[in-house]
Amino acid sequence: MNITESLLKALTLLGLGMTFVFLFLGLLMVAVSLMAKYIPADEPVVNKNALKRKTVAPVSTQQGVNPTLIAAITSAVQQYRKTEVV
Amino acid sequence: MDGLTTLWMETGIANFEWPDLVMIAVGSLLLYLAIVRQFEPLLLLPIGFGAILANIPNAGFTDQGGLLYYIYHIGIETGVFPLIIFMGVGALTDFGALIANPKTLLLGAAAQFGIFATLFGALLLNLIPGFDFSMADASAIAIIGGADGPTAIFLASKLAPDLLGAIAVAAYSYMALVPIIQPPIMRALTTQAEREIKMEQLRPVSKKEKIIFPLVVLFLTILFLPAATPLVGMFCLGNLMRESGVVDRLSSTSQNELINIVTIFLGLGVGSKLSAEHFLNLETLGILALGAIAFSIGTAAGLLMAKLMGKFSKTPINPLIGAAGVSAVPMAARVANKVGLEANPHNFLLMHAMGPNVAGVLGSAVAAGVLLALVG
Repeated sequence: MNITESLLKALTLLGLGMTFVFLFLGLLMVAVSLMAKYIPADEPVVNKNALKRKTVAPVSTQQGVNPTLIAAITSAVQQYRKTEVV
Repeated sequence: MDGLTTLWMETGIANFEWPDLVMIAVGSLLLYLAIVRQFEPLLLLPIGFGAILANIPNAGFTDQGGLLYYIYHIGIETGVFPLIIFMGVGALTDFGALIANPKTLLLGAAAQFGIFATLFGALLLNLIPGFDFSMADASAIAIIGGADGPTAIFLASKLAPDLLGAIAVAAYSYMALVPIIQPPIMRALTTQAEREIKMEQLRPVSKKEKIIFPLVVLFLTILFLPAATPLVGMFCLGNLMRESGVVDRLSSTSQNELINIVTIFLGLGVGSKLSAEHFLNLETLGILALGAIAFSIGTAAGLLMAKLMGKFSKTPINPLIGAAGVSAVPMAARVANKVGLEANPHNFLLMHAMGPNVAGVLGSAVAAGVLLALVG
């Protein structure tokens, strides 16, 4: 096989090969898009503990402000001050 | 005295010939690159050591009955080792980013242009005296542009076993050099504004989609390109084991113990092909040069495709992610992310680049299948 013939064959391979790779992955793209359309998304996991905690821990009682709330605010303020120094 | 002479004749010193010494030096260079420079150490270390073992005079590692002879014939000539590695790679791959943005499949397809364009380079080299690449040789060399080690070894073992050593070394060396080869091309082909483009956040992908995806890929391969089913089939098996969630033990074995064991033998087997007669010639230099060209063209094609898609797409596309279309997972995606961060420190492209990156793995497997079907 001389050089012109083999280059022509390479050109055919280039054309065929790239067309095929594009067709194949393009078809896969269509299939994946269809999949996204028809397969339902996962149901979000509901965090039951988080919901419970909300009802159990009142922000304040008749005796005054909830101590956990005070602790939370204190640590938040401390953190804020720290960032300000930096 | 006779005993002493016999013993002397059995030593390495008495039997060394220059080509052996040069190849042992090449093996040592690979060890240096693996240990000191940490270039793909998992592969270059066993390959380098295998190269040293294969070139020891009188040891007979690569003669019939020798250890490396059997490793090569059982695992590489048959194509079994690269396929087992491919299963492990499948088990390691998360297709989430690709499923969330299926358009990136086209980027993985475009980057395969490097493979087919390099065919010309290999054939044109025949004009220089000393080169004699057949179409099968040229195809096996061109697959280096896919930047996928197992695919390159698989195709070379089928199409050009004599060139396997040089092809494997070139493929893994260039994969290690991704962070050096790609960024200049990426910067040259994009503007600062293009590199700064922010992409929309990817949607979450459901478990069902991830399970069905490998089956869809397999089904399409069975229908359209059975020649690629050894590669794609093993890849999909690994991925299905990962995503199905019911065979965690198998999935964990294929992405850890099995892939590690096979990597040792694959490296040694490739190293055994680095013998002086097959490696110390002009063709090896040609293969190394063509590999770099293949890789660069692939990177450029992916980038240009991403630019083109960005012109027509409703959602913005940063062209840098196109460069990740040459497989080399996850290195190419990391490089896209890094170059993106240089342009805009708040722009994280890693997940977006993973899409074309894993699409590139599929693309190069399909390209290998096409070459096998048309040339093999």
